[in-house]
Amino acid sequence: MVDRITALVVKDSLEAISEEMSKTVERTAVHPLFNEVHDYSTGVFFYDGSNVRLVARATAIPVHIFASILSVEALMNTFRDDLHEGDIVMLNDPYYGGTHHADWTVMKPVFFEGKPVLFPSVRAHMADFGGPVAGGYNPEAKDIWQEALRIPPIKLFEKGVLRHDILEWILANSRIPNVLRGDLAAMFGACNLAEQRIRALFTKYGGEVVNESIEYTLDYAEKRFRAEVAKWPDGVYEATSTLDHDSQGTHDLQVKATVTINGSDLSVDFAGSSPETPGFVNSPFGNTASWVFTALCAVLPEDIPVNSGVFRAVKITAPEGTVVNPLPPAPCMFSTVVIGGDVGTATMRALAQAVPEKAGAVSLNYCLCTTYGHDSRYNSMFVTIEYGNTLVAASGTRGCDGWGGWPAPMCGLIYSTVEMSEIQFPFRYHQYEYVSDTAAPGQWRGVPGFAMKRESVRDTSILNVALTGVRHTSPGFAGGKDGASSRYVLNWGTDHEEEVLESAANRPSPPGTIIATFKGGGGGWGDPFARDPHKVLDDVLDEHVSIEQAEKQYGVVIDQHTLKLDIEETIRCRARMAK
Amino acid sequence: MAAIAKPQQQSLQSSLAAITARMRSTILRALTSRALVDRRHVTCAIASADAKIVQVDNPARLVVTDAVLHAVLAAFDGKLSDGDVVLTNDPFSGGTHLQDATLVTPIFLRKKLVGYGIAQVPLADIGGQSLGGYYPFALEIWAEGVRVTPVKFYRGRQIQRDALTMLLLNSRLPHLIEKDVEIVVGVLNQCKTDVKSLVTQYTTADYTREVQDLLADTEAQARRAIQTFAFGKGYGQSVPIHSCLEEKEFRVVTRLSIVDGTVRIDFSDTSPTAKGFINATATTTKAAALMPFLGLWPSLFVNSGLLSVFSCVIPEGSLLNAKVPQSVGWSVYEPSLTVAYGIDAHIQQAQLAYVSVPQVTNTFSPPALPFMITGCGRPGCPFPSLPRA
Repeated sequence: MVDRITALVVKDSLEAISEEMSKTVERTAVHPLFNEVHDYSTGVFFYDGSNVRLVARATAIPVHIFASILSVEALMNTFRDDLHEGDIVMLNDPYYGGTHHADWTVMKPVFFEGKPVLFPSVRAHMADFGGPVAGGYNPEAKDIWQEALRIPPIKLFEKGVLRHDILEWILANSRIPNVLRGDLAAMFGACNLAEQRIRALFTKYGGEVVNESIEYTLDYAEKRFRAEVAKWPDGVYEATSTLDHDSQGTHDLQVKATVTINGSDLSVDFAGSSPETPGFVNSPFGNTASWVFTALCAVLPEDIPVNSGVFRAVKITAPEGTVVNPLPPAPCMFSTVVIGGDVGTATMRALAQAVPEKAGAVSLNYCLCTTYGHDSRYNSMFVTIEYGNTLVAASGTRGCDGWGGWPAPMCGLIYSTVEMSEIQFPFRYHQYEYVSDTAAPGQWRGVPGFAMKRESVRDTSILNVALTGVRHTSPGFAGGKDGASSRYVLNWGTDHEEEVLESAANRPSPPGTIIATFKGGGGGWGDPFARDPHKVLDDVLDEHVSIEQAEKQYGVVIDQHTLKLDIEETIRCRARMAK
Repeated sequence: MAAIAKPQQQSLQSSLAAITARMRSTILRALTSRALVDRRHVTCAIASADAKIVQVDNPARLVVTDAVLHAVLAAFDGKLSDGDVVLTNDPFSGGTHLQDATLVTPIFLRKKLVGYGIAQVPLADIGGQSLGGYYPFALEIWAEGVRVTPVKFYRGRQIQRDALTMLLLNSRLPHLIEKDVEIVVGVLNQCKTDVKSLVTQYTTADYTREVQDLLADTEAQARRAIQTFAFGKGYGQSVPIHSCLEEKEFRVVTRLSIVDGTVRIDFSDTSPTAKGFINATATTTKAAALMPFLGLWPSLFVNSGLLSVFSCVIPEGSLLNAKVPQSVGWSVYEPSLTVAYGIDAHIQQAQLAYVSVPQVTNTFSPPALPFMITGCGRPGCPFPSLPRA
């Protein structure tokens, strides 16, 4: 039996390998989605002949984590008896354990003494892969073929030899094949590097020690998780989250989560959720499970390792044919943010009944805007996701205001800068900032809403927009208020100004036209009247909150000439408003 | 065009024609998607070892089979192995539109390459915005479906299961596609057996020589016939072609002339690229342009020998020479019909003994399809105007 110290050294070595893979991808990939935004995850998987288990990962996109296991499992199921040294396999299909077309999984089996032992893998959001709409987000899609190229488990390398014909086939279905070629090469490179490191690890410790260390790591994570759940009150907790629309005329889609806690057992059942829908929001099971774990991990202590030890301790049930477990060919491209975010919100709302002090937002209420076109400066096509209208959704949590740009589920991402975006794409930004008086009130307030104005310059771009969080905004918890409603305006400042209420597909944006967006922020946590008046004053000085709203929303009175807090008047005001 | 072929050429030609007729017959009888697709696009051909089409059962597709074969060979550095079967539907790999899949297999006799078997069949569906792939509002080819550049689906007789799964996964009608691919692979195997049997009636060297003679004879006969042409001013401009995405008038302009004993067809003044699915690849344009001439020479063996007596000038960026990522789904009907009518009119001006209009119309007129193509509803739109999908 391996000793605990050695087991931890092996565990940390595998995590270091995952981290090195991550850095390799970051430094060698081409598209800003990789090298700036970091929309990818790396990890090492173990296969015991029947189950695939995640044993180590680098800091990753939460929504990738669980789905990665199902994707690697699909690869193993397909090639179980046909894997050889030098093979590299990949897939992107949502119904082969994936999430949506954009997330591609590349995996390489690592052999030691003639047997495959571990499987390093990279999962990444690719920029373009065919379909009627660049980037794959097609608000008009009513089936999966209207979204993009589907790639089942396929070998890109066979015994170390690249299958050129397969690669060229895939590249021919991208609007930016040279970028895709570079990004795939980065993923292959990361897997090849991991292969070297894993072999060295096996050579140093031997197969038995490494395998026992992996088992120890998984058991440890499960034990820690169960110990935490056992502290929570037993019960059955139900909650729902509602999505505005699916871009195809279906409104108010419901995700219903029933969380059952029984000692150290925890299960989540989505019975009662809406049937699958014609629009592109349906969430394949891997995506649904990823969002459950996103919510769960948000309420767990930070030092519990997130690996298959945790995953195997949770039972998730999602009825087939619903928005949380659709059947092919339901479209699902938008699901990684909605319905996915609603899965997270419903789960969190249910958990909040058991552990309210740990509740916080895990939804995004995403405002999607993909843009593509020809950039005459570089004489090449570009495809990009606009992040200026997706930022902010973090709610307040107990002890902390909503913060920063990305909410927790996207915490692994880094948003691209205005300066780099203007260099890389034919845009000019006129506004990119928080908006005063839009932060949801609470004892700990939500992050403020965010406004962006972006002008198309030189070249006509094509826009695809899907707006959520208009009627059903980011939730508050424990008495905190909900976040503000989002907006999206095309042709801003002209006679042809048009407010997008739900979706807009294939809209040209000629040079000189401006899109103006407002993304509602996250909800608040706790009673706003319980907020420390000095924090309200800080918000006023930071121009997040006006003096008028400080009094109206928080009962905090501030002298408009001296900008000093009037404590006595605040106490009177709060007492008056409490009645 | 009264020359009579030599008896041995007649014999070889008849034997090759019998092989492609058998292939065609099998495909047409067995094709599971035959009720859903344009069966006029079924084509069977045999090429020589140096990649020249020696026999094609569908003359309108001579140019296409020739171009696809060359693209396939280019994709694999000119080398295919015994037992390989390559499939492509890519308009930008010598093809026409995504609905037409071409399968190519090399034919080896005693380890020596003696030719290629080629079969082209329509795909019932290959993804994209609409069932069947005809989408008038397609801004790019990817809205019409998935491009399959030349891919080996069989490698040394070994099926590439993962590649086939990917093909099927990208179709709304995977069971039909799977069966149809299976049928065509079987037909190509039969073609290999038949060609090898034919070659063994000769020595390989004799067969190769006879094939080259056949190609050379076709070219020589075509050159002789061209000497009788007098195109007059040789200029024509078509009626406008409709696009559902633009209110512009798209026209095909043709100029015919004889240059160094060959027909030169110049499309330089044709309208620029359109938005929507009416752009044609150069292959589609050349195929349509050649078609009326074939009506002039009904007794001529249709093979790659003909191609060296025709040249086309089709500027890039024009309606008739689409490049990635332009959509091309309707091009095999329009502007092909307009191109062919234009050439047809020139030939009639030249007062040659020729009546080809029915043949041209029958080849390029839109097919009866079991599914709806929804158009824009503006005057001149050939499609019904239901609310846009």
